[in-house]
Amino acid sequence: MRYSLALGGLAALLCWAPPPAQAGVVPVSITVFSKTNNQVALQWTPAPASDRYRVQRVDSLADPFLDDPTGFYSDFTWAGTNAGPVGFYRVQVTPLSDDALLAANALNRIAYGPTPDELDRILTGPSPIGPAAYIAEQLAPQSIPDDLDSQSPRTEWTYVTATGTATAGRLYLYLSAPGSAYVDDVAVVKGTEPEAGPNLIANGGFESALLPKWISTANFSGSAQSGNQSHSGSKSLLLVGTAAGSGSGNALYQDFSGFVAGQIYTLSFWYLPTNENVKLTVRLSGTDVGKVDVALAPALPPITAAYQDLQSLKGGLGTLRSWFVQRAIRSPRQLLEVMSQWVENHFVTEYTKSLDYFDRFYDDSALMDRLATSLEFREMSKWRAALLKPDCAFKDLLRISAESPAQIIYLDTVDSRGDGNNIANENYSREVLELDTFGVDNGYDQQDIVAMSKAWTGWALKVVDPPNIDNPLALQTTNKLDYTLTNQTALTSISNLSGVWTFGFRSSRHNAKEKIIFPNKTVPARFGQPWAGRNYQLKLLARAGNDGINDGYDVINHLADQPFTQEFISVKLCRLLVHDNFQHGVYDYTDLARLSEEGRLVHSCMLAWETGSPKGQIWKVLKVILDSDLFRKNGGSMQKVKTPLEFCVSAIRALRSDLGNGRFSASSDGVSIVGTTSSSSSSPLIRMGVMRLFNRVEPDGYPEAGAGWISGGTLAERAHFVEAFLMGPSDSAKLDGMGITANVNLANPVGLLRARLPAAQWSDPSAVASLFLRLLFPAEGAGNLEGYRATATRFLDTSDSGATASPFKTLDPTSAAYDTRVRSMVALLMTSPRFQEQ
Amino acid sequence: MDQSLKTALGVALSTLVDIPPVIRRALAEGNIGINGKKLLFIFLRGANDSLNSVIPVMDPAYFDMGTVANPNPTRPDIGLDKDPDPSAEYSKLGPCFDATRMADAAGTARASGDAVYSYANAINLGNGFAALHPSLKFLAPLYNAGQLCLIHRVGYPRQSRSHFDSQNFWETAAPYSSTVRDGLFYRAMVESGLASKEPLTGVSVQRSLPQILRGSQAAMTNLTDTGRYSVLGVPGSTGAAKGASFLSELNQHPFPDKANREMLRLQYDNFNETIGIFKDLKPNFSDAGNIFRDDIATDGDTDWYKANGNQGYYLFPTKAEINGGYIRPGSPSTKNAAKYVAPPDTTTTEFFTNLKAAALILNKTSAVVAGTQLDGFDTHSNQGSATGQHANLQRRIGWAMYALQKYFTRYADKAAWKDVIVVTLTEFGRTTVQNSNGGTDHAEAGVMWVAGGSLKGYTGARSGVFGCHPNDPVKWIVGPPNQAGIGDGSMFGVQDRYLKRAFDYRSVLGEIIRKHLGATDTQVRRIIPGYADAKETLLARGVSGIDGTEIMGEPGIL
Repeated sequence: MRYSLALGGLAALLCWAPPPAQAGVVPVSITVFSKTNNQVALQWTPAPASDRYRVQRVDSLADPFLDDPTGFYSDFTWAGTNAGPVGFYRVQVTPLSDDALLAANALNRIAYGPTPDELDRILTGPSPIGPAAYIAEQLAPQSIPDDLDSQSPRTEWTYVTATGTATAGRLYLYLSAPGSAYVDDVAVVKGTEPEAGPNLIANGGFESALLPKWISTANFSGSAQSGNQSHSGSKSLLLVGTAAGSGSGNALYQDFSGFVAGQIYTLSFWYLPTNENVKLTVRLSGTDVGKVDVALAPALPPITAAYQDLQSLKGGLGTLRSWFVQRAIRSPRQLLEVMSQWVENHFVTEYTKSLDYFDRFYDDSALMDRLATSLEFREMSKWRAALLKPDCAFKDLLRISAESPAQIIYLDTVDSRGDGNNIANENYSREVLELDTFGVDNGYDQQDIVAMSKAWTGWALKVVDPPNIDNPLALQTTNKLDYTLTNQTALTSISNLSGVWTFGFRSSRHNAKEKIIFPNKTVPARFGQPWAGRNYQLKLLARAGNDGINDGYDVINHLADQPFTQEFISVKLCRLLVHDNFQHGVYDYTDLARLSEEGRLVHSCMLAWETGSPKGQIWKVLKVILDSDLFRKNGGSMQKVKTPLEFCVSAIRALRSDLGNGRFSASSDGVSIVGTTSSSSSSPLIRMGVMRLFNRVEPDGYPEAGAGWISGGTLAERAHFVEAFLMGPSDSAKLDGMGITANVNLANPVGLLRARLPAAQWSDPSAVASLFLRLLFPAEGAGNLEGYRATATRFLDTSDSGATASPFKTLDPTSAAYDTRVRSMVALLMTSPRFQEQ
Repeated sequence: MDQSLKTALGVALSTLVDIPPVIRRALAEGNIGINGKKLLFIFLRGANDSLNSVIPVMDPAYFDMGTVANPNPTRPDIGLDKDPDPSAEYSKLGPCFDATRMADAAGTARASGDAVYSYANAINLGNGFAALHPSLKFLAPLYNAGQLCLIHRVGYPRQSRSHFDSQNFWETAAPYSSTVRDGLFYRAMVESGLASKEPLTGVSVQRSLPQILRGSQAAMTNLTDTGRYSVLGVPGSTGAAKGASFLSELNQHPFPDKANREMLRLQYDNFNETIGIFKDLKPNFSDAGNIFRDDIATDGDTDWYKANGNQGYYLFPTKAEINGGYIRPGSPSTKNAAKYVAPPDTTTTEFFTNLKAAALILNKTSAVVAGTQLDGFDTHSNQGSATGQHANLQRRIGWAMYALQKYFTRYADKAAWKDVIVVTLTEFGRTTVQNSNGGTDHAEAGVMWVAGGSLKGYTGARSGVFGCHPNDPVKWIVGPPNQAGIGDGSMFGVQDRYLKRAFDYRSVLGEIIRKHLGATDTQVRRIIPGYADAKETLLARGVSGIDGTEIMGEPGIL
């Protein structure tokens, strides 16, 4: 009788307030309770960000509930033992801590996803700074040290490693041409981790004479132990070659004992850069496995080299894109990077349209590539400089866009004329309202577009002397590329001018008459105070000559801080940082109590915009969003789908941990994400839905909302990307038709797990799976990841073909099989639905 | 059920954002997906300049909107010229001038050496008023076979001139609705009752799943690259099967609700279910499988026909080598750029790769609707005239329609040409008067091309042009704006600047969904909610209760 009452009364009983227990522990609602063949089963609604679920039972409601450890739990269902006890049941959940949730939200939104090291620094390390400090830091990017663009060439001892299988137990060192190199601390170990385990190389520190272990042959017989330089100890190897080496019979080499064919080995060494134009090769026996080539000349880190190329107009679109993506991966100023992409995408332009424009004047496609790229890089540099000012206002960003030659070309202002009977081009006028400031159907109509289109006439391009790059009233340069030109046509031809392309006002094309935009329009009542009822008519008086340029500036100043702009931009920033479901043009701010939480957040953003001096300070608006509950709690958490850019960058970052000596457990050259050149059509970003950075065809920018990015075809490409990324460097499928010479998206998940798990757990599939689940899905909570953990564990215990059981614990952690198993499991998790979210 | 109750039910249901699954099942009715009829759509993104597609060549205001004393050319740089040959006779009724058979209006036969687009004048459509842009010459054989309907002056009330709003309105078939967010063809597929049973119902082949196929109750399918629709696996050579099976398992684990999780779950499931289908089609998708050819001496090119074993041009120019008659084999082989049927660039190859895949999918699978898109119609500057930017875009359309007719005729498997309709969509038309950049800006009504083996197009007695004649039920009014006693010419019928609509795009799509796909009247009211609102006047001619414009209802193409 007691039992039947308990079962029958369950639903009501669950409504009871839980007894005082641990702080933060809350009950969840049980949706199914059944008793079949004496077996009790429960099913409940998953709660967001749940660290742990506990099924508790009590015989009598007078007694305290206790955990019931007897049942089997999977996917939010629990089944008791057969013929187990019947009684009152409840399910309790321990949510993630506020700090853990906020840290995850912050890393997913104001950064391009968590990295293991950032998670440690903020939350899980020995002295975490906490998410609040991280957010405060990111809101002031100018105070975060960042030398990625200004690093010096490396001249000190440099560490190098390579992993692969070999055909024999022999290690070669040789040079590509006559020259010499200092090398020290050579090691070869089993497995994928450098220097983990016994060094198979004898006298790798060269503290003893080369012989008997090191044998020098042919062109390298002049090599010797040297006391001039050393990385450790007091000696190193001075490798001396009189001509190029080739390995067998023409190298310095050592045979090591205990070689096993098919075993994976990792070699490592240090070398000292010199100014010689020579390559040093170190490799195991076998052609391309466990091989590394290093140029001895000191080289700039690729990201700095790319930046310098762009600054000196030597970079094409491929360079710009790879610089931008490398910054997204590595920059300590993550929110600045996120905002740079947001601004670029908001004021979107199309590189190809600039290319078409320059095609009027030039024939050299490489030159046109650099010119079109320079316009994109110039506006990006200006936006970044503006964003580095604490009081950066939206007006500053809008003005940079309006003055950008890329924009003037993109939306056809460049040829628009308003003089005489000419009908001004409406393209920019429409999109500056619809897409850049007010938002569609928000405070303007077709007449305003037509009236404003006249204001922009004359905003065109010129070639000016470099000091005039920011002076739109400067005259076109008269400097010629070739001073010997005498032909009159060649002399006046634009293609022969020596200078920089920039915004230049052409008063002869300007419509000099009076214009009235937004005639007697007033701000609608729904905006409430202080905005409602304001008359926002803009009257531009007739202006002659160069004064006509001020039509455009008056428009910029007028549009930038109108409530429509405040609303639309706030909505877009909320969509970026919180979730997709914010609207412009609909909220009624006169009745905040009845307004949704989303509407109230937009209103708060607008107040911060309106009350600042100057108005429209971006960092103030961002702070409002980052301080909101919508951002900090579950309302925004994991509610968005990653764009292809966010997906690729977050995948690299998710596995990227500093393993010491300049090594990282994941890295990308950027090129393997964006392609080499402007025309790369098979880069991952193109294949995942044609995300052509700096080169979008449509002026609305790439979508934030997920539905535009997700389909079977794009999921296939996302899977391909992470799988190729996780493949070992010698996997023949790794290139995956990218159209470049090598896929340099590199991952070393075994290195990561060795650094983060005690050796005793390296062979424990559940511990290994749990580690990566924590790193990849910090906002989800272990309780919600139980299903993924079970699948990942079973995956680790299954052979690579998927056909047979193959217990993970039987794999030697230094074996290639172990390495592959871990790589493929991590790839699986990153192919999953949850990794598409942020 | 009496009629008023039916209507009331239609209205009530039409307001639902998403049809709940239980109602969806209960209402499975009609013939969509089971009558063997299929639909192929091509969305022309950026807004096609309709006045240079189907040209009102007998409207003097197309050429000049001023007076003799004060001429004011309408399209001085971009307008198409009439054929000066008196035999062109644009006022005479008859078939469309077929520039694939004739080199000029006098009827001289085409020779193999003639450039494909040697005819540069407005092509006489034979309805006494309208003409085709010469880049669309390959439409003539379809037109004269009665298998092409050209529908002019297509728009909707309170036309939005924003690309993104207007594309969205076309794709949801519900302008300005705050409740209807899912796609038109998605709803049609849900109505078929097959969307939750068959892995393939609505398919697109392009960079992303378009709004017209999006909805929350079932997943439609989008392919980006037919050769890469797979899981790669780690290690690359052996891991694919394991990767795919565990990925499918991962997707079955429940999680707390979040904004995108149901969408992701459905799309992952759809991906997992369709990998096998597309793997089977891979030989057809591949370059080597692109064997589809015309059965006649295409474009009068008998030399090419003979040199290629009595076969015509390749239907899908997925690379420059098989684009029209560019390469003629034999001794010596020749390469002639004048023989391209579409511009030899990546836009062409990508478009025809996608179009071929869409056609194959309709022909080889259970899919009912498939389509793709063509970008680049936002011609604000230098759009060109007989040649140039806009002509290049239209060459692809003209050839695509021709190729699809041949493909579904010659290679029919699950879809024969009589069972297929091809329809184009575009968000709006462009300004009647050109701007200072030799381009056109955003405007109002546009053109829809509809092709198919069972259409009621041209016969000797009937025209295949709808909405481009002064004798239409809703007259095409010739002349400039503000004419005394007449009012605005049609091309200036909105704000003295824009072409005024005579058809609602929903009536065109509604007729196709009703009479071709086989939706019941009840279903069409759910698929296109405007059909349930008498004010919209979508079914038959009348005055729109939304904005007072007289419109023609369904065009009567089926």
